Order: sequence, then structure tokens, then C-alpha cells
Amino acid sequence: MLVAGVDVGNSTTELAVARLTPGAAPDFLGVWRTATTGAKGSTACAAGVSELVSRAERRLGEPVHRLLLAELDPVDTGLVELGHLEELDLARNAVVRPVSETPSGAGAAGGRLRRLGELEGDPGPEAVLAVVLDEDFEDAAAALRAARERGHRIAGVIVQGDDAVLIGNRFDRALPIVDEVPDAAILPSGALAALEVAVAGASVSEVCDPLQLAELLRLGPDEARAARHAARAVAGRRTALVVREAGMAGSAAEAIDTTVRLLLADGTAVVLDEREAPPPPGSVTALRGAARAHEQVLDAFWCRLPEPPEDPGLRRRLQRRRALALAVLARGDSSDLLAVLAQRTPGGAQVVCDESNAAVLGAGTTPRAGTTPFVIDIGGGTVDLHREGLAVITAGAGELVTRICQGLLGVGRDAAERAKRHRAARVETPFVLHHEDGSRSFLGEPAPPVALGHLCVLAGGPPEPLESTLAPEVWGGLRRSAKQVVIGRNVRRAIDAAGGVPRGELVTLVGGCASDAEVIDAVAAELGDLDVAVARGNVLGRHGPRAAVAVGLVLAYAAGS
Amino acid sequence: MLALVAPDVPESALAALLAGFEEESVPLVVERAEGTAHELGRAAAARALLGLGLGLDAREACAVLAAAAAADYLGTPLAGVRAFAQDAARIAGRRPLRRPAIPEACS
Repeated sequence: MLVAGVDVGNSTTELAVARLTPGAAPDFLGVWRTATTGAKGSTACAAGVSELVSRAERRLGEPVHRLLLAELDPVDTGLVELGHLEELDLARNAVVRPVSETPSGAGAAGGRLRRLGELEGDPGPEAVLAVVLDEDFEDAAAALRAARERGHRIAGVIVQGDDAVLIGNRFDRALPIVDEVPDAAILPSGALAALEVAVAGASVSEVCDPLQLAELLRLGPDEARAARHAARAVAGRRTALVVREAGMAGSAAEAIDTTVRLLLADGTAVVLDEREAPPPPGSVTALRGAARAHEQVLDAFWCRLPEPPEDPGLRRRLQRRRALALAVLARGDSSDLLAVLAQRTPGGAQVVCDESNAAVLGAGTTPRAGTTPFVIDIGGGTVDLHREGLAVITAGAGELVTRICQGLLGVGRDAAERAKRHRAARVETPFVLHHEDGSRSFLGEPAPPVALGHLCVLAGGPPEPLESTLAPEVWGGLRRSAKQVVIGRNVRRAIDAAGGVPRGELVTLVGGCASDAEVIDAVAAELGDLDVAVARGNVLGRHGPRAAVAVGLVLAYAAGS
Repeated sequence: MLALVAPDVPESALAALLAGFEEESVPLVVERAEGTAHELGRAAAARALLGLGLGLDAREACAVLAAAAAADYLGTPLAGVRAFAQDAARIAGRRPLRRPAIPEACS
């Protein structure tokens, strides 16, 4: 009789099929894996499980009799951008971030917005920021020269197209000119605005100062909060533009709730402070506020985006976002999934044990692992620690690291997943790669033009460009830091909650994340003071750290039956 | 950077080429010569200090790497020469190519 242990994870579903013969150990015939189809424990997961079972049956030429599952508690993983919520609270100000990669001039300027055509008349008493829309750069420069000769005090120029240098070269090379402003056409003529261009390699220094911004925009004391939020929104950039009395988008009159509130096990409610470490597992029972509401919470884990100490501009941009990486483990009900899966095989489907017990049994199949007293299963959603008679599950693992990578790189989930797993390099020239350790290597074939100047994932094929120009050294540090902050700290939380680990003990890591050498390093570094040995599981001696739960479910079933 | 330009390339295309390089603040030397865009690009690459040469004929423009001169590295019909010029200048300047402007936020 064939049985299949099914590990439905938050990211991956694994299937281990074995032949059970009375009086003999299970004969494992294979392990299959696919992406989880739906929230862990939901009926949507049945599609992925069914597909895996079909694959196994085709391969083995024999039907699976029974499916064996663990109790399933889902994890919700996300990135809450508290800073972006604050940006909706700009009152009468609008922040326009020019795409501008080739601005002209340098410095900060404030004045009234005026279209080129409006500068044909007599000058007013105030400085102006000229707005160039689709005019040719030669015509625009001529119009600006003529306006200045008529007495207009032109303090800066805003250009819709990519012509800042061309206009600056023909008008005034020193004047701050920002270009590639996609919203230039809807900038309200006559409104007060402030713009700044920093010299190459630097970031704005005046409009990111709330007092100076308030001076440039003549903001009153009652608008201090809006000035602070607007100044923070443009910090760390080379070019910036802030417009007052915009009316470009619905301005929020009411303060926006940017807090996440925690309901604790003792019945009290507290506001989540992202600078504080998360409490031990079991302390938080529900979440409210800016993060989606969560009930029946078993654990909540959060951290801020890692910041590179060597890049103050990037640090400031990251701090401005106040992005909170948040993972919430809630009690799940997988009875519907079980009912659906029960129809898939003649022998039905049943819950055999919890995931932790299964993981320790699976990890125990690692050659020379013995009884593996401490097993840590690092999956997509949780870090699970199992020791004899005790299991601790903490929210936040590989998927949370992926979300952090996504937030740092500004890329989609799949690209972030690849960036998390593989090293990266910048394509400096068509033939030269700049690696994370600062070394260079030469490419035999030229890199595709779209990869030039970009941080690229090196996954064995041609460099895969990411929409990021982070220095490879900076990105490598941030990626490792994300693994340390999420997985390293969660392993420590789990160990602390389990009462610690005796000195000299062996800690075996299993789960998809344990196949990542940087994760092993992060865990070993986190546990450095405990004097424990950290090893990677090799399930059944051939599957590496993966499939421990699926294999363990079969072993638990065989032992019970 | 060196661009070799066929005699029948219109002045408007030449102006767009020069504007693209000027916007990127990368110096460009232009010479008139006979040949197809690829032949001219190859000849320019062989003479260019940065190993990248440009060729323009009445139909198209291309950038050719001296170290991989068999094929164009970048190319465009003549109508798109302004954006092509900026991208070619960025290759010389080791910067990412241009991409469509995306308004990041406007609130």
C-alpha cells in the first residue's frame, strides 16, 4: 500500500510517497515538490496536492492509497509601509518626485509655478519656477532667456521631458532644473513650489529639512506636520519637487491612522513600536490598525527593513518609508481541505500529528543524526523548534525575507525570491561584472544592454537584471542582514521560548530555507554564544534539508499503525 | 565616443544624435563616411577608446562593440535616434539604459 505524507507549507507543498509493508520500515519511493496553491490550510491548496499526487502516481505506476497531513496553521506575511501612509497626510502639499536622472545645475529654489507662455507678460514681484511642457529645448531655452531679459526672476525650471541639460546649457548651467516630471502638465500654475537638485552622487539637503521647506513654501506653524512629512518624503533623493496648494489629488484633511495595535494575552492593548523587539511567541492574540486585522493569533513577528550603514542616502530613504516587515501566525482550520483531499484517494486523508513532531522524525533520517534532540524547521512561513515534549512555532521565515528583499529592491515577488537565493553582481560594462565582494570578472559574451549598470542576479545563466542600481556590496550586506534579522532572530526567539539549548548540543536545521548557506551562517552567528553545533539535515540521506515533514508524517503514521 | 554617419543621413537625425549625447553629458565626435550603419559602427568601434562605436545610415543607427563586432549591440530605426543616442551614451558612461518614465508617487 502506498501512502503519501503531505507537507502543505506557506510557500511550498511537498509530498513523500512510501510503500508500507506490515513488519517492515517504510520504503520511500520519492519526494515531489510544487508551489503551494492558496493560503496554507485552505481548500485552494488541494489543487497543488492533487497535482503532486498525480505526478507521483504517473511516475510510480501505482495509485496512492492514503494522504497523511499535519495540523496546519497559516502565516500571513507582508510589508506595511507606514511612511507611505503618512505621505497621504500632506495637507495642502503635494510631493512630486522627478524621475530625473540627468538634471541640470544644483541648489534649492522656491517660487510660483509659471508656464512658459505666462512669462511673456510683465514680471511680477516674486521668483518663479518655470514649467516646460512639450516645447522643443531650443525654443524653451530661448523663451527663458527672453523672460529673464524682461525681468522675470527665474529661480528654477521644471521640465516634463528629458531635456534638463539641453535647456540648462542654452539658458543657465547653474540654475537647478529638474526633468522627467510626468505630472508637469497638471502642476497648478501660480502655486508656490520648492525644488532642489543635488550635485551628482549627493542627495537633497534643503527641501528635506522641514524648516527650510516651510520657509521656501511659506508654511505656517499649523502646517508643521505636513512640512515634516513632505520633507521626509523627499529625503535621500538627488532631485525633489514639493508643491503647495496643489489640488492635484484629494488631500487628506483628517489624520490617518498609521499605527498597528496589538492585543496581548493579558487582555491589554498596546501600539506596536517597530523599534522594539517582538515579544515571545504566544504573547500577542490579535492585531488591529494599519496592518490587516488578525484574530486567534499564535505569534506575531516584525522587523524594520535593514539599513546599510555605509550609504546614508539609502538609509534615510529606507527610514522614511518606515516599512514594517510583519508575519502573523494564526490558528487555522484545515478541516475543509482535509475533506476535499479525502476524496482524492481511496483510503482518504487524515491528520497524523503536528508539523514539529513530523519534522523531528524526518530530520532523524539524516545519516549520523541519531535522535536529533533539537530540530529547527525553517520554512516559508515559520521557524519551528522541536525538542522532546515541546514545540515552539514562531511566525516569519523565508517568505518574510523575500518580502524584505522585494521592499529593498522594488521588484516583484519572483525576482525577489531569486535575489534572495542567489548572489548578485553589477554589470559594469558589457564584459565586466562587479561582484558583492568587490572583485571583478570578465564575461565571455557581452551582457544584454538591459542589464548594463544594473544589479543582476547570477543564477547560472546570463545576468538577470533587477530594477535596482544598489551597489553589489550594499545589496549583499542587506540580503544577509535580512536573513539574520528574520531567521536568526526567530531561531533565537524559539530557543529562548523553549528554555534554551544545553551547551555542546547538536541543532539540526531542516526546511527549504536550510538549503541556503547564508541562512546556516545567520543561524550559526545568532547562536554563537550558546556553544552549540549547527548542522544541516539530509533527509533520508538524499533530499538535503527538504521534505522532513512529509517524510516524518509517513514515519509517524507507520509507527502508529 | 565616435559616430560615423553616412552622407545621406538627414541633419535632423544628426541633431537628435547630438542632443541625446549632450543630455547625458557624454562627448561625441561625428564624422561623415560611406557605408551601412553596421559597417560604419564597426569602423567607429575599431577606432573608439571605449570600444564602442556608432554608425548611422539613412535607415538606421547602431552601436557596435569592438570586442563583439559581428553583430550590433544596440540598434534603432532612424526615427528613434534621440533615445538611442541617450542609451548609447549611457553604455559609454556605464549607467543603466533609459526606460519609460514611471510616476512614482503623486499625493
